[in-house]
Amino acid sequence: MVKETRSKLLKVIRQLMHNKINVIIFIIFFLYCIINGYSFYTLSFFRQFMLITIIAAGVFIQMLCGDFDLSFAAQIAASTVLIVLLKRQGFPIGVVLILILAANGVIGVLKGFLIGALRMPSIIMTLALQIIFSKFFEGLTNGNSIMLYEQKALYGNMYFGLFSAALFILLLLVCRFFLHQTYYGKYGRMIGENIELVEKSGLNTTAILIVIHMLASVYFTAAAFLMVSWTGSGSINMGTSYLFKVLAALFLGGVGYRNGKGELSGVIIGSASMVMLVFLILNSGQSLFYETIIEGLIILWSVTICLKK
Amino acid sequence: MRKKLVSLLMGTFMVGTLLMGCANGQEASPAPAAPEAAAETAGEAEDAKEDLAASDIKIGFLAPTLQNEFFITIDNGLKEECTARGWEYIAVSFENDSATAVSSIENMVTGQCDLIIAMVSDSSCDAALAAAQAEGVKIMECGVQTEVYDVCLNTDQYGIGKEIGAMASDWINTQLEGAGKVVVYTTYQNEDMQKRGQGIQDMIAELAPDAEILEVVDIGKDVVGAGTATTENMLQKYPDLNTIVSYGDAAAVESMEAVKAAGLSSDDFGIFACDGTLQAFEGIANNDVMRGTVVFAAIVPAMIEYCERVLQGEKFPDMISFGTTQVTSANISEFYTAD
Amino acid sequence: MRKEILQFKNLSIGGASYGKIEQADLFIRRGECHAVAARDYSGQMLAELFQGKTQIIKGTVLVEERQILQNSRDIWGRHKVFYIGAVTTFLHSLNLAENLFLLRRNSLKKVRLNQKAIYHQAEQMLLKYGFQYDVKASVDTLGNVDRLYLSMIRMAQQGARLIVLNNVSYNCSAADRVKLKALIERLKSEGIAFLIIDNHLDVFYEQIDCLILMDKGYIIKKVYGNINLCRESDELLKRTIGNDSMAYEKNSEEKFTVPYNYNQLTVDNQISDNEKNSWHFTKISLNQDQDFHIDLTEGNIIFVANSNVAEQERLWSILSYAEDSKPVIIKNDKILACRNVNDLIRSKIALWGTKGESGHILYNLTIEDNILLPSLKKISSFGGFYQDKAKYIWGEELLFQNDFLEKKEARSQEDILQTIMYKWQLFHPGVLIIYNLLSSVDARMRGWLSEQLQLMAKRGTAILLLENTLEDTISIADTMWIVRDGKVSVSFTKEELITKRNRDIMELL
Repeated sequence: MVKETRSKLLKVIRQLMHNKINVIIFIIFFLYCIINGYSFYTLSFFRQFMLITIIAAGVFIQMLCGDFDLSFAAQIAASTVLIVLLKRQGFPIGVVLILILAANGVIGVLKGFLIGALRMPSIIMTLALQIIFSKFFEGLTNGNSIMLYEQKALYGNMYFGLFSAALFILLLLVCRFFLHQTYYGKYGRMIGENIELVEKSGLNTTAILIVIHMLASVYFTAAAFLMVSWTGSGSINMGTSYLFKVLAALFLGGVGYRNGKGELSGVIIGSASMVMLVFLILNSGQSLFYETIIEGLIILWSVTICLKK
Repeated sequence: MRKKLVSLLMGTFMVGTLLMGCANGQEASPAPAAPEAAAETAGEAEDAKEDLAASDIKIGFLAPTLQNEFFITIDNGLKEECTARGWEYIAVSFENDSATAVSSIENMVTGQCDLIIAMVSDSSCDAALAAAQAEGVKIMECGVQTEVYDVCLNTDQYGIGKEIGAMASDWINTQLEGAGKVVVYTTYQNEDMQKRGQGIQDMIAELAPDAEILEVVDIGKDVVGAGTATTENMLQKYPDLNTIVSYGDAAAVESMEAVKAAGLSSDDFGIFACDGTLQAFEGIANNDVMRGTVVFAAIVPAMIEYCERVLQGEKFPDMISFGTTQVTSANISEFYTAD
Repeated sequence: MRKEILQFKNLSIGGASYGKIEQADLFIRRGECHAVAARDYSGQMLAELFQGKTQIIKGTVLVEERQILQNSRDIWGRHKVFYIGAVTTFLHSLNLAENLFLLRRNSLKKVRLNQKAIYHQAEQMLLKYGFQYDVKASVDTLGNVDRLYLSMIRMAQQGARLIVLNNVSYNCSAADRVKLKALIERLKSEGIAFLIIDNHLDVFYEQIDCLILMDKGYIIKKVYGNINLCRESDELLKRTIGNDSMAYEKNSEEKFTVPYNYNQLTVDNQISDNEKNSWHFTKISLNQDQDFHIDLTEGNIIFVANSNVAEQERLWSILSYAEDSKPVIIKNDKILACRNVNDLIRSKIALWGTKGESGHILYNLTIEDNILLPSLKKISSFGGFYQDKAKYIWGEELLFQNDFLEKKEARSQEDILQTIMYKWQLFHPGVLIIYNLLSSVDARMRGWLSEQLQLMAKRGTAILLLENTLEDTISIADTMWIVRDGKVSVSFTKEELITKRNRDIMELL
């Protein structure tokens, strides 16, 4: 009994040591809130956490298979514009969502094909896609936000709140199921670690990458849908600030770069840390430039550690 | 399986409860301040003023970008004024991303800001601002008028465009005897700037009918380097170009440098814009090709004044307009000295 | 009559790194084990066929009477012909059972993965072949030999018809070889055929049904069924290496002669032992109980043979700074500040790892540049100009005659090994640590490398050999240690090594 408790305790300590940066952020955050009398259990914290976690889960799935996606923010932004444009054309929301899912699915196929079949480096390919998305939709919208005038933002709506919470949990469960209980989840990790070996083993890496990128697109669609619902608008700038936030959250959560390592729990912890970090930086009166600098440092540090390992 | 189901239900319940908690707060979301509230008694305001001095005030400034001199000037000014009053001040740039703006508003509310100065560009943050209002946070909208505010400081963008146009036309008529070859820098990426651009064009057409508008160029919103690149192109494309009129000083100052670099700096070349930045003033004072800018009535003091008044409980249901002044070589000494 | 699994009819293949195979006829039936003994790289050319690296120029390849028209590893996989090379890679992001079950062809129609079934089946599978591993454990601690067994079992489970083993024996200890042979026998009894291409065919004499003798890309003879005949043929082939015009002619003035100038650069043998440099490698924790340490003296060659291959892998891993626990290196009573491989090179300690070539050659550089690379700092003048000194090096033929440099690019394995050898000879390290280099090459190359290493030792380099082969290694070593459980269990001096027979030493391993 004592032995069991001790081993459990050791396991917890090991986990804490593994997540030491997150633990430090958590402690600073809670102390900061307590000292200043801020309530850290507000809706806003969970809303931000939900959004960043959903995006991070999508990027996480891609990163597991070794792809460093720089286009997801632009893809989300483009999706918000498309959602609003289609909605303004009078399409019912269900149809709009199916169309956006299909559009993002096509983008997922494209990403998977370019990386898998043509062996394009994901960073270069997604950088190119990012530019294409942003400039195309910037041209389409003149860079302006497009408002859903006839429909108020659902921010703060009780039913939509419940719906988004349920959607959030569902997406996390799907992610968990995908990673642990499907062949594709395992194949993703395998490709992330050693694509050549997977290919030599006779597996169709292109097909696997297509499936994985299509699934990631579902997460980006969900994030775009939530953003449009909360702001009542779509814009080519919508969500673009999440690019580095999400990448930093993933690295904080211990998601490896090109080693197929990382767990959903890490993504959740990393996302929570990132939300706390943004809050701390903003409310400590520091410019948000520091946020971007810190995000960059986290990414550099984590990639260095991954490559070193 | 049962465990997972219970966890799922509990998770949904927990998050849902939190959301409901907020939603209940949101239900009491106020409409723009009621007109009758403006009729507060002087005595009540006086009491509030005493409270204001005694309490810890925290101001949050939500800027679309902090990489532009105009917003940096406001940010610095607000910081100074707030520090002078012993107020806490935080600023955040949301990089024209409404989702980040909403998160920033939430963080400011959680961080117990008493007033948020929101320089948002549209109504996409209205719901979040309304939720903030419901939490007792005062909202000052600046540069845009939506449905949610306690006070709204704004300008007539078309009118400003006309003022820039009037300055340019006046110079074209006197210096170039009406033979202006004009390029207008506008942007369609922002409704306000588009209005300014239109005001410029309309006024030039009205006051300098002999001048020719060679091209109206979309140079983007606050794109660093766009002024330089576009001016270099325009100078090559139109060798007889002699007047550049821009919606903002940032692009105008870059254009000034590009014109100087091209060796076209002369008394017969003029650049006009708006914002009253230091570099624009320098250009005018040094008799560079920068000929005129429109300066807003000191924006930061106005913001601070209305911050105080709103925090003291005053209500401003109607938009409050900023005053503007045209600055040319004739009156630059009032605004700028080399020291 | 047993069914033919693989047939080559008048087959010619090209595009390999080493040359062509021509007019090859081969028949491998169910459960048969064929082995290739070659005087040159013909065996490797054949191995490249099964890796999908070569093109079928002429003739027919049939797998169970179905013709293979294009050569790719994927096509071989579809026909259940699998290839295992010298280094077997597993995925660290998966556990052992997942590595067994997921690294295989799949139609991708199934989505749901039954983890419990995977563990159960993996356990059963391992049990069937008499192996005991924790199927849920990480594969980080598995040695290359373990991965070799597991790969063979995985292939058997995938319905393998033929397994091609290329040079797998060199990093097997004596005990591992017994296990490997037993596994091959077991798989043969299940009808799986083997094609073994190896530098140590003596390991497999008992399993071989047909020995294929190859030379210059041609099959020159096939010896069936008799162990003694196989042994004789293989040994004869090795002995006749020197008679091949393509091969290294040890005693002539041809291109692989001992570099005459290099001979003249040897150190003065009159230096007393006290004046010689010495290196002391300590804090090498092969097991938790004690630290292992190695003492090297200038000009000495120490051969370290481990009874456990995993232990040898770990020793190499520690010495090459790939592990968290780093050794402490003391040179002449002074601790060297070495934190990584770069520091080692700065301290003139060179490493030459498994299979000889990987990581030692930059393929986008010429042979000259590759040879000069580690010595650039030494030969460069202020501003990084080295061309004059490089001209002198090439012109004076300090290391070798210029016809080697005419090749420009190191393509074949022999070119690569020579380039690396010359690179280290020019760099002239104080210590050269070698891991399974001699074990991984054929007899001919091993002979040449051994001579070059002796020359380096004469010139003052201390050499540490971590090898599994005794051939040639024993003859050049000044001292041999047999390491067991993290400590030296037996030590031999040069005199003892001369008198002992290989078989006696093998028994101790």
